[in-house]
Amino acid sequence: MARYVEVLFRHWWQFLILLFLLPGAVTAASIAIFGTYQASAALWVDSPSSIGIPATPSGWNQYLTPAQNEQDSLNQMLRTRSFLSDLGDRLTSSGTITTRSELSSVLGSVARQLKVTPAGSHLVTINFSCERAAVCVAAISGTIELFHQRLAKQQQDQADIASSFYASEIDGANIRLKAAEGGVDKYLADHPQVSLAESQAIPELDLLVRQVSESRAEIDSLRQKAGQAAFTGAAALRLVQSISSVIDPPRLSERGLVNSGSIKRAALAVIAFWAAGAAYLVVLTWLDRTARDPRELERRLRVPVLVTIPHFAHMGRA
Amino acid sequence: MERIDLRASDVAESLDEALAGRPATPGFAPRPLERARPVALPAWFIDRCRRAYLSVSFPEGAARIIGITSAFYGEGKTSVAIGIAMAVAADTQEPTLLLECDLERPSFDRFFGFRTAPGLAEWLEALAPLRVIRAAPLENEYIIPAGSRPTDPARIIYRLSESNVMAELRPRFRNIVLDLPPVLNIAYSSLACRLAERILLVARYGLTPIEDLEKAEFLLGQERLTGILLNGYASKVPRWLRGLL
Repeated sequence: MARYVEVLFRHWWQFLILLFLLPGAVTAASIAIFGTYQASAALWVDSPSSIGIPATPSGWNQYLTPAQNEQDSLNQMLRTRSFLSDLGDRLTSSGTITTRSELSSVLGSVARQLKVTPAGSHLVTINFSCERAAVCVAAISGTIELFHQRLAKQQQDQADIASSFYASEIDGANIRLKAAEGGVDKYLADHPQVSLAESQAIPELDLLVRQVSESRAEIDSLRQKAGQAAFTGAAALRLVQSISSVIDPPRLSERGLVNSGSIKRAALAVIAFWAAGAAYLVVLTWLDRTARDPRELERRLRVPVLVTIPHFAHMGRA
Repeated sequence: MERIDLRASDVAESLDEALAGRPATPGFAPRPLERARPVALPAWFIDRCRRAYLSVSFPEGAARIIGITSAFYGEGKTSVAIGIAMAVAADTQEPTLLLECDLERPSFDRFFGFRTAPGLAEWLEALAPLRVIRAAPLENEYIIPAGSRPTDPARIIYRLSESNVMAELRPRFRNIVLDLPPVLNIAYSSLACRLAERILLVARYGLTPIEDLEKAEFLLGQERLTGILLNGYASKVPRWLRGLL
């Protein structure tokens, strides 16, 4: 052990180069050549009820916080091929990515490395690392926009279905209203001495009049719901953007060893150089068989080392 | 084994003459002992050398003969030998001799600023009288240089080891520090190492292979190898971390 330490200190500058300077240089070169960028954005997510919207977005769990619901939705969406395909189209059409290989690489990275993290009950942060700054920012922007569009589309689809349902319900209610009104008219025609004001006194007429008023009330209610659905459908995108608003737009946050690839490269370089350093240390120690350690001399020669005399420059040698 | 014909009376006479300085020639004043230039070794270096020799134990009352060697050249054994001799001389205030036994590459002249020859080799070859130099600044430290490189250094060392030179040196010098040739470079170094009672092996941090130190230890013999001095230690590991390891 003492010999190894002795060799280490004697050739300290070589080991300094091998163990620290070279790994440092390789890491710096790795950063410079294979530079990685990290972009981030922050979303503020509100519960729809808090802004007066009775509808709940699809997939929301009432036992989770809005931020957790948003993270869950976004992560599920990121797992779909159609979402990644749409994101790819967006990045390509905007001219951010021009080559197919880079596109596939970026989309693969988005699926694996785009991190959606709730930072509280309402705040969600999105981080993404890649090799080009513009791509990082564009990928996060595209992800957020696509996510909002997809949520809005879901809202619109739900609203359309609701509108169709309410329209058919209104049609049915109109038929029932007309039938009820026809019944009242027929009763009054059959009984000319009876007026509509006396309907409460005549049970049969009263029933017919109550059917008419119930049908009208039902139609009003259905029209109101249909209107709500139409409003939800028409303003779906605005509503989604209100629920999930971008408070920190995508921007570069860091540069350097930020993704696992870069860290892996740097770690491999460090491990390789440290292994080479250890091998070099062993070789140097093995090659150096000169007298250096008094204790080793005593052990091997079984003769005491009486004194060590430090080196001095002008010692006469003979 | 054949005994070298170097008579005890000759050795003793040579030593006495050398230590007394050159006798006066009729009509001339006697010349004092040659003096070496002071060696500029840092105080902390001398202190480390002091710690090393204090770790070596000798029999009570006997002359202390410490040999300093290394596996190869260039590991700092001569510096350590000089440092130990200075530390011993300063601490004990007893006569201390620094004897250069590395005949292949004598280097005391570079440290002390005197000429190499004549020295031990010339004296043992009977080519020149024994030359003893007084070290500076200590008055009790003496040096015998190796002399110029002989044609057959092994024979000189053999003469030295088989004669009574060391026996004659002991009563005159309480402390003798030998700068020995490196063990793995020089074939006769094992013979030279026999001159010392205790041997310290200098290894250079980051230069001397441990396998070669093991070979040196094998050649020297573990019983005489007292310890190792790790020279030029320049560990980059912080002291607090070294303590933890």
